[in-house]
Amino acid sequence: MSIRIETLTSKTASDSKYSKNQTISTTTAGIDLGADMPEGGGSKPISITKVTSTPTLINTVNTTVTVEKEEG
Amino acid sequence: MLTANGKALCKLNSSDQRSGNTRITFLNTSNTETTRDGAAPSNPGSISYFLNTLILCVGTGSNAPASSDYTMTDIDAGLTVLNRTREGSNGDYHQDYIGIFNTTYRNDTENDIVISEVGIIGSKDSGTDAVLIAREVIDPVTIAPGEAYTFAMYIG
Repeated sequence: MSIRIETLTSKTASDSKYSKNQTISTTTAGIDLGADMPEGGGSKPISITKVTSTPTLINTVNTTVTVEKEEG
Repeated sequence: MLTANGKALCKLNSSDQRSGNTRITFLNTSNTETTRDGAAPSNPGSISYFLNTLILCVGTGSNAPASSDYTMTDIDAGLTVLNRTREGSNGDYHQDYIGIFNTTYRNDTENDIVISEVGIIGSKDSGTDAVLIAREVIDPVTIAPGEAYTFAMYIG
């Protein structure tokens, strides 16, 4: 029997408090228990990878101006 | 064209406000520095200090827009403001755009008024600390006495 616990956290464009396509942080932790446990007991190392990107200044912002005459 | 003020505001919106209380220095329309502190990072509207006051203004300047712009010429140019509307940029950040701004003006003077620039300005209270967020130069629009025009700017 094998049990795997994995968490994944990611915030991208779906979170309106952050800019589009901006990955705030991604953390993945996987823990395998049971089947591959070394003889004599103990647990396998827990692997954690963390990636954090620092957003850069938004320089792709566009401005568009329109002018419309009001009739009447 | 976003001004340096506008770019700083965008950057603040996208990240910095989450990292703690924020302090940002703007160049106001009088070409002097004005410093504002944000609120707690848990409050997305911390920089609403300016965001809540952003309005579209017109002017008579014609210099090419630049990031270093901090003011406009003859803001509102003596026109009567009939209506100002704003969507977004109100602390509740929209993921697709920063804001859509509209102002409808009428010329209640006896002379033509020629508009050649449009900008977004934010201010606090009396407007003495007004800061220019964005500015565009447009083909001149002549507003004859009695005429009304709606100017709109989309930032996104």
